[in-house]
Amino acid sequence: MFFKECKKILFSLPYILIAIILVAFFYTQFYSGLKEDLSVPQPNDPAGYGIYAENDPALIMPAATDSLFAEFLSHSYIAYPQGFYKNITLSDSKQAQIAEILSEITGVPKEDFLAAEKKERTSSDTAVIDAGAEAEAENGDRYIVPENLTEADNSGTLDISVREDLSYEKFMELMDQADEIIGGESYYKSTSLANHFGQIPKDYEQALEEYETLMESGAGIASARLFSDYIGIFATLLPIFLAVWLALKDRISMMSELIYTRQISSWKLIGVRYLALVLMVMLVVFVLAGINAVSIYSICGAIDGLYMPFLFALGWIMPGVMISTAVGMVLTVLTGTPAAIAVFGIWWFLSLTKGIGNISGNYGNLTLLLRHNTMQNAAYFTENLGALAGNRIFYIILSIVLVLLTVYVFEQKRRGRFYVSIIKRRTDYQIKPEE
Amino acid sequence: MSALLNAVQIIKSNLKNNLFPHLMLTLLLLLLTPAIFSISNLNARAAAGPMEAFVALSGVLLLTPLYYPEQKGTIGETVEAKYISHLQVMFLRFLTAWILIALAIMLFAGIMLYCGSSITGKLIFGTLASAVFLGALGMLAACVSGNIAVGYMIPVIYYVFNFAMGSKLGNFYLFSLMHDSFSEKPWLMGGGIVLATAAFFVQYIRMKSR
Repeated sequence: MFFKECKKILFSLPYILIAIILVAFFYTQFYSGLKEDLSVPQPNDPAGYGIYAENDPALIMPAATDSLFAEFLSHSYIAYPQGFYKNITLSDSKQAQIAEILSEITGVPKEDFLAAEKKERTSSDTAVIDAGAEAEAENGDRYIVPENLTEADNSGTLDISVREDLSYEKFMELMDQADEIIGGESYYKSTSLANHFGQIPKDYEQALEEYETLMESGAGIASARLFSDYIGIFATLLPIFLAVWLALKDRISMMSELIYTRQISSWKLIGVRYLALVLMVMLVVFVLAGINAVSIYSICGAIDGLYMPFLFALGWIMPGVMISTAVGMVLTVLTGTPAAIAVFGIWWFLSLTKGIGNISGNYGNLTLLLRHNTMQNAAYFTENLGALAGNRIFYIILSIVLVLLTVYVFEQKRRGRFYVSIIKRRTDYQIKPEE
Repeated sequence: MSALLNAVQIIKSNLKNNLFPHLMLTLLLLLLTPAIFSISNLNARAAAGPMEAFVALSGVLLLTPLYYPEQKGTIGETVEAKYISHLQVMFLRFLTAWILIALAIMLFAGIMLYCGSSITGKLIFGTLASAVFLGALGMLAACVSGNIAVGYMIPVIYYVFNFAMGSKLGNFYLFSLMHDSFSEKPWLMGGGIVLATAAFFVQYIRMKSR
């Protein structure tokens, strides 16, 4: 039965589409840049060596303070709570809290900041009149606007340079407070400060050092991480369609009731189907992992860790395939509708967009999609290996629980119970005796 | 007169028995949008964010499952035996879904306008064009494959590829208004109509060849 299910999946349209999409994504997003990522940097490269985020307080502190002050004055803060632009307007009491933070950073009294903001708001409400333009006075007389009327009054400009005695630790603490007041995922989150305010171009020496570090920490493992990051995105989403397709197929071809009456146990039927679905998707992932390993060999030679893409496919990508398949099966068996696609699709989308701010390393908070979109940052991987393992084990256990739930629901349906309908159906079909 | 009454009856039945859960999902989508995006005080370019990236998904929700009822068991055969032409029923369903998408978009645009955002006719038409294109893509995929799961898969993948590929998709780039470009929108609307027409005939041939 297992091989029959595998064969059915192998020749199905959704499976062929999944294979094409994964292969296309692998080539366009990962494979095409692999050689460049693993090559020795050359001196005087006209394309440059990219940029990097330097955690340099001398660079970050003034730039972040300027930005916070500008947003405070405009009464409008930019944040990316789900990876998408969000314009936040704070209440007056929260504006006062930001003013207090700015005051702690610069030493300028809080009242001065509030006065500057009030002045800014008043001036933005006033119409701008160009010098030399004709205007009408209150008494109705027309006049030409003189030059000095259009110049900004700079007498009240604040000195917002950072206090010299302010430590970087305290500065980060204040920035985290500001981020919390704004609502999170703003430019001022301490972990994002370097990314927003500390980016500088790399030079040749830095690029060479980075390359040597990469080779020392293992090109195989670095490449496997990047492979898992890219392939994991789609390998987590796509199985939901396959699982829903297979579960709905019986219903569409009117086979559900026939299967209910068969001798096969619900455990066996659901278990075999689940295993077949996961295995068939993983088959494509393993082929791509093999191409990755061969590519590393052709670029770097017989280095240690050539098996890493396979290990990562199992430990990193497979739990994503498992949870997607399990959600697809349980919701489709339960509702008899493709609702699982909407539920899981939204979960996947929110996880993807929420993680956009930390794509170079994010394994925490039970995130559905693990991110490590760089060959570098090996330290993050080593330091957070426990979190990564915990995350993946959680999804394996959750998948098993959902499969058990699917078996239970299927068994109940076989017994004629557990009918779930989205719309209330008519139940008064019985022919009533004539009165 | 009786033709009009039949049409009203078909639309009512379609709304009640087919589109209702999908309409609820569309309302949920609209309710979810402000939780993810800012919708207040946005200029025309920023306002395109929630409209193109999220509200346009109403097309997938309302158009893709349009011919789902016929895919289930013997319903298709029962429908085929009816006196009223199935082609007419299919067209009325498409028209209803199309109007509902337009209403959902205009409702959300109205809310954004109320919240002080800049809403233009181009933005409304552009969002509708993206929604119709995505939905028609799903319709065609569902009709060709005979399975609704594939119907959802194709537009969702195309939508995700738009984030990865960006303007490389040329005239069929879904999020062009976010980059101040409107020229893609007539192509998307035209493409959507072509795909929907193709879906229409694939479904018709499928029904006839039973």
